[in-house]
Amino acid sequence: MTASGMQSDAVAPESEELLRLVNLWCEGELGQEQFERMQHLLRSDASLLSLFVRFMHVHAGLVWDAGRILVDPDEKVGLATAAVACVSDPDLLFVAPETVGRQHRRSWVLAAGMACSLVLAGVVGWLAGRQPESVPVVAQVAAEQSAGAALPTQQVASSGAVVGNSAVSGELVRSERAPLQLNGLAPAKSPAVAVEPTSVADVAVQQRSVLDATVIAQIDQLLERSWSENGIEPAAAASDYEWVRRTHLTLTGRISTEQETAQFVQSADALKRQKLVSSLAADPATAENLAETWTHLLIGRSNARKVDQDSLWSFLREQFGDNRPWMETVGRLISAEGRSDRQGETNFLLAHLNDQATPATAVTARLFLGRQVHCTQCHDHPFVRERRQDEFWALNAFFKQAVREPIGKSDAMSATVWSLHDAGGESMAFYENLRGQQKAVLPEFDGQVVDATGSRRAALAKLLAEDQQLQVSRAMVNRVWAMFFGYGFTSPIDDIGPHNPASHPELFDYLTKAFADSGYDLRRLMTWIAMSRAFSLSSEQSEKLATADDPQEGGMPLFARIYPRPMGPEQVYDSLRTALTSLTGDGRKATQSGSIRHRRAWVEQFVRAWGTDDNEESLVFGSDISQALLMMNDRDLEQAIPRVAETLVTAGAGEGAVASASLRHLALGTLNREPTEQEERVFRNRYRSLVRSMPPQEAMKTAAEDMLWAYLNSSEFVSVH
Amino acid sequence: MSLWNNYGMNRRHFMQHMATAAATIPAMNFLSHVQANADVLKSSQKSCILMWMGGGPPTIDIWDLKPGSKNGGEFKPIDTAASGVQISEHMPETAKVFGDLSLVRSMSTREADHGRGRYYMQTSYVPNPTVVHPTFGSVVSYEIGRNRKALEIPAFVSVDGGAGQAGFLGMTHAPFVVDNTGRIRNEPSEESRQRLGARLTMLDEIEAGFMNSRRGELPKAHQDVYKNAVNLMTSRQMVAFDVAKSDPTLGLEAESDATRDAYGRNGFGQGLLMARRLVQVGVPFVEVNMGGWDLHAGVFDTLKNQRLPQLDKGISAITADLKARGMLDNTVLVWMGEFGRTPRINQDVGRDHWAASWSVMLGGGGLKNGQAVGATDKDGLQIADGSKAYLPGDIWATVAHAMGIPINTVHTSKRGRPMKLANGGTPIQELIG
Amino acid sequence: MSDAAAENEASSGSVSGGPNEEFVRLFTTVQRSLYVSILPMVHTPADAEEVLQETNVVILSKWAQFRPGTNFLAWARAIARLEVLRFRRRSFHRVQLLDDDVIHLIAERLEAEQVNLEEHREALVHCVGKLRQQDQDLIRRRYSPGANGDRVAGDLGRPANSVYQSLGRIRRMLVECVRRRLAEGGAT
Repeated sequence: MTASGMQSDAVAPESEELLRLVNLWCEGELGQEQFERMQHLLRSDASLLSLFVRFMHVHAGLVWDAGRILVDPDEKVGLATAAVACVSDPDLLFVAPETVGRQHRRSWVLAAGMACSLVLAGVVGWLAGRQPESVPVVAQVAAEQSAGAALPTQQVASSGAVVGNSAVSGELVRSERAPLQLNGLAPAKSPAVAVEPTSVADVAVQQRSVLDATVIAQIDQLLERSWSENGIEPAAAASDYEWVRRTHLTLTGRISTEQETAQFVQSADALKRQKLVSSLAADPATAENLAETWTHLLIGRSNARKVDQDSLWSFLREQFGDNRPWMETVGRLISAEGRSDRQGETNFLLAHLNDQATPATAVTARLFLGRQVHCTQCHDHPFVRERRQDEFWALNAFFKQAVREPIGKSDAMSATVWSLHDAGGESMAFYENLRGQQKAVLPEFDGQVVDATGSRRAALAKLLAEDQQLQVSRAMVNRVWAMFFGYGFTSPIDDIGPHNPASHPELFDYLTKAFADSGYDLRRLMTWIAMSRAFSLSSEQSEKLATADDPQEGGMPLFARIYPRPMGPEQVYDSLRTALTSLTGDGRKATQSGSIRHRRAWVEQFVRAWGTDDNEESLVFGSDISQALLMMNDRDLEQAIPRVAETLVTAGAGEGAVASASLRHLALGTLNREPTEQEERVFRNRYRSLVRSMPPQEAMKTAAEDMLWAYLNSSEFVSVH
Repeated sequence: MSLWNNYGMNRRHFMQHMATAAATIPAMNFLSHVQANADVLKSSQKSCILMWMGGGPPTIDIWDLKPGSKNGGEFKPIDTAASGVQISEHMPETAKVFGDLSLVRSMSTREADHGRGRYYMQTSYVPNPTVVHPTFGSVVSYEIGRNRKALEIPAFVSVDGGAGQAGFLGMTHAPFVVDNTGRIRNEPSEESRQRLGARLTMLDEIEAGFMNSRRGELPKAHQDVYKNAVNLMTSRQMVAFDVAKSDPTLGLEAESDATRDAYGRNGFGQGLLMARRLVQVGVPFVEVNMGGWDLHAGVFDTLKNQRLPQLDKGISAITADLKARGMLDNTVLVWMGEFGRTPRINQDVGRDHWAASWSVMLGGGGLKNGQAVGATDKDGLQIADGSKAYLPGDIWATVAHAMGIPINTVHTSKRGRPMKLANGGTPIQELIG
Repeated sequence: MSDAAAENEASSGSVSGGPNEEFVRLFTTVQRSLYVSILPMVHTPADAEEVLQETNVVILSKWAQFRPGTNFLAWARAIARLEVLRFRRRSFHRVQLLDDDVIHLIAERLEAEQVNLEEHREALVHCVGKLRQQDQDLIRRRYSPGANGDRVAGDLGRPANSVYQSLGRIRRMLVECVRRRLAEGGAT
C-alpha cells in the first residue's frame, strides 16, 4: 500500500491502533513496548505514516497556539467564543472577559524583546565560530499553587537529629545490645537503668521507681482516650520498613542502612522493635546526635561568639553517652567554671554573657524551663501575670558574677580560649523600666531569694533541682516528645505556661512527673516514647485524619498519625553519607560518619546569624531552592554517585538480574523500602534507551547513577515520615 | 506529569512571539531595538527594594533628630533637597537626593523583641502560633511574581537575609537567599546539565508514588521548589546576580568600578547594586540586609564611623542610579528595621530597643516624595499630638498601592482563614497623593 | 555564556551586514510551520522548541546561503531535519525518541505531503470552533501553557485514562475535520 494521499487512513486496519498509540505518546504515557510497536507501524506502512503526520500536525498546531487558537486577536471568528469559554471557567487565569485579550497581548509584547535577544545571542555566538549549543532554556511559569508545608523552624530544628563522630569518644564503652527489659513484663529484674545520684553543684536528684511498661501503657491509654473523644481512628500501624527508618532517624539522626533495614524486616523475632529501641537508645550515634542537637540549641550553629564548639560537644557527648541525669547536665551547664577548651560545659555561658548576660538569662529560661522571657526584659508580659519585668532581671542576677576572660592572648578579639569564673561582689541586677526608672533586684527563682555568699549559679542549679513545678523536666519532656513527633504538647515547644494550653495536659503532666521520678533518665524517656503506640503509627494518612489531625496550621496535634516533616540539615547530611557508604557495601563506615567539621561546614551554608543581642540565628533549610540546588548538583555527591553505581553493577552478572538487584539495593539503601513497579519501569526504560548507544554494562551503570540521583533528590528521601 | 516536559512552555512563547516581533523590526537594528524595547518593558514593571536594617536602627540619630533634647545625642541635623526635611549630618549624600525619598516619622509598633519585631514589620501581623504569615516579599512574589512569565529566577530574592517565611502562600514564594557576592552555590556541572532531563523524568516517577501514598503536602512543595530551582539554573537571567557580568540582551552591563565605588564597596552597597540588576530583569521584590544595628553600647561612634557612611552611600547611589535609568518611579524603596531605639541614651552610651515612636524611610515608586509624614514629640518619646501613628500594615499598604496590588486583596490561610493584605493597613494618604 | 555573547557582539560587526529585511520576514513567517514540522519528529514540546531554537540559530547564521526566490520553508525544513538528527544523537539518553530511520521517513513524508501549513492552521481554527463546547473546553485546558493530560484529569477530577480517551477522540475528530476542510478548500 503506497502513499495514496490523504484519504487512505480508513483503509489500513492498524490505523485505529496507531491513533491510540500516538495519542498516548503525546501524553507521555506510552510504555516502551508500545513505543516500539508504534515505530514498527510507522516503518511498515506509508498510509499510517501519513496519518501520523496529520495527527501530529493537529497536535503541534494546538501546542504552538497554546490551545488559544481561538483567542488570537487576529482571529475575529474565535475571539468571542474563547472569551465566553474563559469566563465560564473558574480555573482559568483570566478573571474577566475584557482582560483576556489584553493580558494575552501584553505577555506577547513582553516576550518579544526577550525572544529576539535570545536568538540574536545565539547568532552572535555562531558567527564568532563558536558552537551555540546552549542557548538557554527559557523556562517555566511561576507555579500557581500556593502549596507548601510551613513547618515552624523551631520544631524542625528541635527534631534535627544528628550523628556525630564516634572517633572523638573512642574509649566509651558501647553498651551491650541486650533486649529491652520492660520491667513491667519482667518484674524479677531490677529497674532498667540505675541512676547514680549526682554530686555536681549540689544537685540532688531524687529517684522513685517507675516501671517502663506502666509508663508506655499510660501514654497509650491517654492518647487513645483523646482519639476516641475526638471521634477519630488513628492511622494504621507502620510497616517494618517505615518504622525502622523513622526510629533510626529519630534516635541516631540518620536513615537505616540497606543491611540494617533488610535484617530488621526479615527478622521473625516478636521482640525485634523493643530490641532495636533498646540498642539504639544506648548507641553512641544517638549520644552524638543528641550532643549535636544540644550544641546547636545551646550556642547556635553559626557560633557567632567564637566559643569552643567542639569542647562543648564533647562534654555533651559524654553526658548523653553515659546517660547522666538530665538535671545534672543542666546544673553543670549553669554552674560551669574553668577553661573553654577543657571544661566543655563553660562554653554555653561563655557564648551568652554579652549584653549584661541578657542572652544567658533568656536562653536558660527558654531551653531549660520552657519559658519565653525575652520580652519581659523590657516590660511585663502582656498576658502572663507572673511574668514580670523584675522576674527577668531577678533571674539575670544569678549570672551577674560570671566573668568571661581571654586566656593566653590579652586582647579579646584574637583570643580562642576563654575562662569562665565568678568574680565576687555585686550580684544585684540593675535595669530600667519603660519610664526610665532605675531598679535593682536580687537573684530570685521560684520565690526564693538568694543573698548568701558562694556561687550564685550553683545556687540556681540547686533551686532548679528542687523546683516543685518540675519545670526542667517539663521542658525536656516537651522537647523529646517533639523530637519523635515533630510537635510537642505546646507550640512553640519552648513557650510553656498558662497562656499556652497544652494539647494533652494530663499526659504532659504524667510524663513530666515520670521523667523526674526516673531520675531524669533520658534514655528511658526516649524508650517510653519510641515504644508508644503513637510512634508506631503510619505516616500514611486517611483523608479524614489529614484534616482531623493537622497541627500544621496551629491546630492541636492529636498524635493519631505520624506527621511527615522535612529532615534537618544534619539529618540530610548523615543520611546521604549513610546511603552512599552502605551502598558501596561498607555498612560499618556508614555509622562512623566522617568528620563533624565537614558536616558543620556543609550545614553552615544554610545558617545565618542575625548579630543581635539575643544571639539569634536563622536556618535557611527545608524545601528551598538552595537546598534543591545542593541536592542536585553538589560536587561531592556527583563524585560519590558513580562510585556507588560502579559497585552495584560490577557485582552482578546477567543483565535482567543485575537490573532488579541494583534497583533493589538503591531503593533499600536510600528510601529503606522495596522499589515500586513504577520505579522498575522507569529504571528499565532508562536502561533500554541508553543501551542503544552504549555497551550494556555502561548503560546499566549510567542508569543506576541516574536512579540513585533521583532517589536522593526525592521528597521521600529528605522527609522524616 | 513530567516536571521536565512542562519547561518547554516559555520557550515556545518566546519563539512564537519572536516571530511576530521580528516581522516589524528592520533587521539591521535588531539588537538596538531589542534593548530599547527591553528598557521600555522593564521600566513599566513594578518592583520593590527593601533595605532591611537588622537589629533595629536608631532612627532618632538618622531621620528624626532631636537637637536641644537630652535625648538628642551627638549628631546635628542638616537640610536636605526636600524643603523642611532635615536628617543626620552623617547622611550628606542622601540629603541631596531626598527629593525622591520620604520619611514616616510616626511609626508605633509595639514589638520590641528582635524576632517578634522582625515578624511584625515584615508580615504586618504579630506572631501567632496558629498561623505562619507570609512576609511582604512573599506576598509580592505571589501577587506579581507568578504572573511575570518571563521571569525565570525567583520573584523574591533576599541578599544576605534569613529564612523569611512564605507561610501559607507556600515555599515557592519563600525568598531565595544569596550573599552579597551574588555567588550561587551548587551550580550544575556541564555533565549534570546534560543528564538533567532524563533524571528529572525519573524523579517525577518516584515523586508520583510518594504523592499517591498520602504523605501530605511535602511532596508537592518539594516538586514546586525543584521546578523553580531547575528554572533558575537554566536561566541566563542568572547574570543579574553577578555585578561583573554583562548580557546586553537583558540590558545588563558589567558594572564599572566607578559604579561599584558609588554604591560602596561593602556588603550593603554591593547588595543594592545587585538589587538594581535583579529589578532590571524583572524581579519584583529584592531585600537587601544590613546588620549591626543592635547598638546597646557606643552608638554614636559606631554610627559615625561605620554604619552611616555605608548607609549614606548605598541609599544615595541606588536612588540616583534608578532615577538616571528611568526606573525610580516604578521601584519602591523601603528602609526599615524591626524597631527603633530608645530615645534615652543608656549608661553605655547606647540605645536599647524601642518600638513606640520611630521612623521608616520610603522612596521612589511614584510616591509623593520629598516629605516627612508624622512627627514625634520634642524628646522623641512618643508620637506628637495631632500626628497619626502608623503600623507596618500601613507601610506595606502604601507599597502595595505603589505596585498596583489591590489593597482589598484577601489571602486565605490553609485553614481557610481570610487574611487581609498588609493586615488591612491603609495607604498613607500624604504619600499616595 | 552571556559574557562571551557580549564580547562577540562587537566582533559580529566584522561580518558584513546581516540578514536583510526580506529574509527576516520569511524567517518569521515560517516559525509556526517549522515548529509543526519538528514536533512530530521529537515528540515533546520542550524538545521541539529546543530544536526549533537551534534550527533558527543555524538559519540566521546561514542567511547568506539562501537563494531568494527559492522555497524558504523547504530550505528551513532541511536544516530542521538535520537539527533533529543532531538533537537525537545528543539526547540519546532521553526515553522514547524516534529512531533515525523513522525520523527520515517522517521528514520525507512531510515533504511529500506538501501541506500548506497556513491553510492547515485556518482549517484547524475552523474545526476547533465546530467542536462541542465541552470538547473545546477540554482542548483549551489540555493545551494551555504548562498543562498536560494528567494534570487536566486532576483538575477535572476525572481518571487520567478517561481524559486520554476523550483527547484521543477529539484529536481524531480534528484530524478528520481538518482533512476534509483542506480537501474541500482545495490545495493551492
